[in-house]
Amino acid sequence: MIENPAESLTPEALARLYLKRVYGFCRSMLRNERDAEDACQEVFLTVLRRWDQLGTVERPLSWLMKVSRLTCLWVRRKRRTDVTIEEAGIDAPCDPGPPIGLGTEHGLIQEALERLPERYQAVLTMHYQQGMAQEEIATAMDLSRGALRVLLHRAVMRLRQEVKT
Amino acid sequence: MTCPLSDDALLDWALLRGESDPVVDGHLRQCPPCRERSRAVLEEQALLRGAFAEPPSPSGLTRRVIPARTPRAWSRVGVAALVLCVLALSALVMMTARHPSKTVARYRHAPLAPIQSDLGEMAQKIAVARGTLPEAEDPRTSAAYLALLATEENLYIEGMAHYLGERSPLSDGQEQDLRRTIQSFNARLWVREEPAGASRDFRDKVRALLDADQYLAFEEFSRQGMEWQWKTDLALLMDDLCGELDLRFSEAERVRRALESHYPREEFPVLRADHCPPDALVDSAALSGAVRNSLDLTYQRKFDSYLGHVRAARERAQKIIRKQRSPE
Repeated sequence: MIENPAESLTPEALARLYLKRVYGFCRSMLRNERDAEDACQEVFLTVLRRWDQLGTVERPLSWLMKVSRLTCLWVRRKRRTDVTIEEAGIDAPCDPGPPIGLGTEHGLIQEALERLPERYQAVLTMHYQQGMAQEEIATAMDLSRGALRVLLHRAVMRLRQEVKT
Repeated sequence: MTCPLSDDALLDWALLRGESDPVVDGHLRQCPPCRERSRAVLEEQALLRGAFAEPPSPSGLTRRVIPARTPRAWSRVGVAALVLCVLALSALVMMTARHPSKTVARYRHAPLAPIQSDLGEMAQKIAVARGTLPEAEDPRTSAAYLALLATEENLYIEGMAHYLGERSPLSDGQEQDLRRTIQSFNARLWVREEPAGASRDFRDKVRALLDADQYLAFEEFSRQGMEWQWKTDLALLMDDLCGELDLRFSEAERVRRALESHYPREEFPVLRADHCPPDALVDSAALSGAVRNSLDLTYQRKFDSYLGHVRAARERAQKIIRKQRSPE
């Protein structure tokens, strides 16, 4: 973890360090290689534009993920390929059922993920793909640790439900 | 008896990933059924980590992302890099001039970079000024625009005279003649006379008034200048298009390729008159068509509107110039 990247790194070095992770996140969120590349480019342009502020950011990965998420939302809106974000459905109770079985194909899980609201997708991607700690995800999502735990929990339950259907 | 550890609690515990929860940990040690349930949840977590595995990033992404700058700054950096290249080239020319070969030794000239840098700066100023020309004629704005063009012309004349006279100094008479010839050529370009013909005449006149060494220097000045102008125009036009059309990276790359394939290479030496890089889009249907086709539908509409603005700004500029200038 880089504590203060602006003091210890150049923007180029930061990009080298996090490029794969940012691309991975954008690719998962956008499901399109070209869009992911564009989003990735935008994220690092933002890094350059806000390099002065980055020195004061305590969690650079969280900050990058926050920027990545907003960029992905922007790309989705621009491309108009995104379904409406079902914010209303996020807190609705659901019957998650048992854990997803071991034999489930990854493709099936990915398809189920696509049907989830964007916030769920973001939080699941940060957790499972990026391996971020809950504190880091909470910072990236602008949530308290408690709210993040609830969101993550619900996201997994919705994912279970979607896989089942 | 119902086990106190709910599915929700078990999932929360699994999501903690590595962080210990003494209550749950203690219960799991004592309760085999819950241990079995926890195993299923942990297996699910492993499955999900696999399903979310980071996709491999495409080759070349690093190369494309790392040198990124903000659109406008990025282009400016491109121009700066270009200037540096020209500097390096000039240094190379100076180094090769020390080569014992007599032919090469003749071309030990002053570096072109400072002249090009000044001209590049002026080109940017003229492009910006042209974009802000009001629709209704305004004498003050017109005068300011013409003053910019005159400054550019002076820079060009002085730069060229300095360059040509490096080995064989120009006499006062030659310098006056050269100035008049350039002004005459420039005036023809300003009124959009056929550039190839004007360029031929210009070369003939210059050849007549310079000695052999000076003319060789002129040819070198023109050759380097044309190459520099082409690259600078492309960089400026890319900068403009990226900003005006709000291009994303992939679109910008396609536009760049279209420009590189179709942007015309001028036949006349570096002299901008009131030429601005977007003019080529208006003049060349092949270029504007290639750029348009490289864009997605949403950007094509923006591009058409951009082209309309360029055409209108250019007409306003030409109106001012026609009123003030005419060829000899």
